[in-house]
Amino acid sequence: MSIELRRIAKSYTGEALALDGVSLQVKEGEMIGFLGPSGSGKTTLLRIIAGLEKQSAGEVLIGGKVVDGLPPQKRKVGVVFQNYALFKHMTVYENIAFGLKVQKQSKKHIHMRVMELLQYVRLEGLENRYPQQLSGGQAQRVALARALAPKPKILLLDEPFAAIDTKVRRELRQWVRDVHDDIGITSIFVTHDQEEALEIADRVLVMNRGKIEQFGTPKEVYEAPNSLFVANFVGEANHIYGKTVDHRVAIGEISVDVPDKPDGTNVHVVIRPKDIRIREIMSDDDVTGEIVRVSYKGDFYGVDIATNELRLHVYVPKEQDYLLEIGRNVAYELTDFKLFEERPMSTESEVNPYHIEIRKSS
Amino acid sequence: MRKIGLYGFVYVWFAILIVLPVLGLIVGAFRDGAGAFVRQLANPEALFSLKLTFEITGLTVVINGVFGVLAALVIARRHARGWQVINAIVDLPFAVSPVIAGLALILVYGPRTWIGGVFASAHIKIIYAMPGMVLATLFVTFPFVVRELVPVLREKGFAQEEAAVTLGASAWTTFWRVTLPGMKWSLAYGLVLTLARALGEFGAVLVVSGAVIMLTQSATLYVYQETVNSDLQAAYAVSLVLAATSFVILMILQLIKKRQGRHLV
Repeated sequence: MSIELRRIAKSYTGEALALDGVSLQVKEGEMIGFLGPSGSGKTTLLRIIAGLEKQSAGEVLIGGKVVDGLPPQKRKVGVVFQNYALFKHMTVYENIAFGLKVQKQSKKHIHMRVMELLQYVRLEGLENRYPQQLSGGQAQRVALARALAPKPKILLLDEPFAAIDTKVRRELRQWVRDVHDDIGITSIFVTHDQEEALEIADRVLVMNRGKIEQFGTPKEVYEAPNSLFVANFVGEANHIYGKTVDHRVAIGEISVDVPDKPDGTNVHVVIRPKDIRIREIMSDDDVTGEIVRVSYKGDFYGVDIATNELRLHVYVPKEQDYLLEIGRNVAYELTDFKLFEERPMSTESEVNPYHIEIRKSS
Repeated sequence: MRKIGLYGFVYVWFAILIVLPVLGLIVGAFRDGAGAFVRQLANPEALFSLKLTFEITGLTVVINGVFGVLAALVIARRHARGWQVINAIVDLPFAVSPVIAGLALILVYGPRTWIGGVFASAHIKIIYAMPGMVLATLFVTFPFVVRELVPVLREKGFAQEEAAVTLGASAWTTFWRVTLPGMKWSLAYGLVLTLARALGEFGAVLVVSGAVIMLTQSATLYVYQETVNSDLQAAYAVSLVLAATSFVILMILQLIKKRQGRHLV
C-alpha cells in the first residue's frame, strides 16, 4: 500500500524538534531507505508510521486513508525491530505463530502458515529452538517471518542489519530485497549505512536534524546531491575548501570556473573518488601527484595521491594497476565535482574516512 | 594460600551467622523428641497464630504481587507522570523501622481518627484487627517485588511489547503473553522474599494488632510471648515452622527454575 506523510512534526518536551515538517509519498511496492546519522529522526519517523509513537502535528496516510486514529494493532504494518525483539520465552515456531494466534486463527491454519514461512526464510528444522540458540542472521530471519506472518501491507525495518557480520549482512540485504520483490509489499528500512541504502532501496530519503535533505533514487542522491550534507553523508568524497578569485576556485593546482559566485565566496568543493582520473605523465603541463597509498578493493583500487597542497582519494580501475606504485608520480584530472557555498558541517568525519581539509590562502 | 584463607573465613562466618543458629533452632525444637514438637504445635494458641500468619502472608503476597507489578511497570516505563516520586517512595518501608510504620498506621486508621471513624461506623475494624495487620505487612514488604522487577524490566526494554502490539496483540494479551512470562522468575523471586518477610514480620504487626491471644496474635507474636513466658519449647516449634516454610518455598522455586531449562531468563 502507498504511504503518505503530510508535514509530520514531533517534539519532545524540552528538546529540539525531533521531526520538523516531514512530507513525502511512497508508492505501492516501493522499497525506501531512510538514511541519516543518529538523531536525525529517521527511526522516530518509522515509529510514527507504525503507530508506536504519535506525531505532534501532521498526518499519516496509508493506502490513501488517514490512520492517525488507528493503534498499531490495526495498521497492518509489520515491523522488524532493531535487535529483532524476538519473544525470548517462545520458540521460533511460537514467535512466528504469535501474530496469527492473537487473530484467533485455527491451529491447522497457523501450522500451515508457520511451516510455509519457515521454509520461506530457510529455517526448517529450527522451529523448536529458542531465540538465544540462534545466530544473528537466523534471528533476523525469524523476526522477518514473524512480521510477515499476519500478511501486513507494509513492512518496516529498523536498522535490520546493524547487528550482523559484514559478510552475512551483504547476503541478507540482497535476500530482504528479494523477499520484498517476491511478495510485492511496500517496505521502508532505516539505516545509517549509506552503502546499504544505495544498494537495495528504490529511493533513498536522506535525513538530517529532523528534516529531509533529499529524497531521490540512489543515483540521484549519489551523483546529484542537492546539499553539502548529502554530498558528505552519501558516498566517499574528497573535500576541498577555497575562496573564489576571478570567478575561479583552485583545487590544488587545478583551477575551475565558478561563474555564478561572487569573488571572495568561501566554497566547499566535493569530489567523488570516481570523478578523478589518473594517467601517465605526458607533458609538462600535466597536473601531477605522488601515489602514497594503494588499497585493493576488488574491482578497483582506492588510491591516495599527494599533490603539493592536498591529498586526494581516487578510485582507479584495475586495468590501470600498472600505474600503481607507491612513490610514483602520475597525472590527474577532474571529470566532475560539486561546489557548495561553505557552511558549518557536522558528522562527516566518521562517514568519510578520506575527508581532506586544506584551507587554501588565496 | 591467602585465597584459601579468605574463602575459609567466608565459611566460618557463614557458620557463625547462619548455620549454627538454624541448627540451634532445630535442636531446640526436637530436644524432647518429635512427639513434644507435635504437641507444641497442636496447642490451639500456636495453631491459631500460625493460621493467622499464613492468612496474612497469603493476602500480602497476592496484593503486593499485583501492585508491585503495576508499580514496577510505571517506574520502569517512565511513562506515567510522577514515576520518579513513586520510585523514591517505594524504598521508604526499607528506610523506616517497622515499629514506626505500625505507629503511622494507627495515626491514620486508628479508632480515634477520622478515617478510622468512617470505617468504624460501617462496623469495619482496621487497627487491632486483621485488616490492620495485613496493611502493616503490605507496607513493610512492598519494596521486594518492585525492586526485583524494575532493573529486569529496564534492561529488557519494551521492544518485545512493541513487537507484540504491531502483530495485533491487545494491551491485555501483550501483558499476559509477553510481559509477564518475560519477568516471571524475577517476580517469583520477589514474591518469595515478600513471603519470607511477611511470615517473619514482628514490629509493625505488634503495634497495630495489640497481640490479643486467639484474636490478633500472629506466629511471631506468639513466639515472642512464649519466649517471655520462658516456654522455649513452644517458641522453638513455631519458629521452626516459620523458617522451614520460607526455606522450602525457596528450594521449590530453585528446583522449578532448573527443571524449566536454561533458555529462560
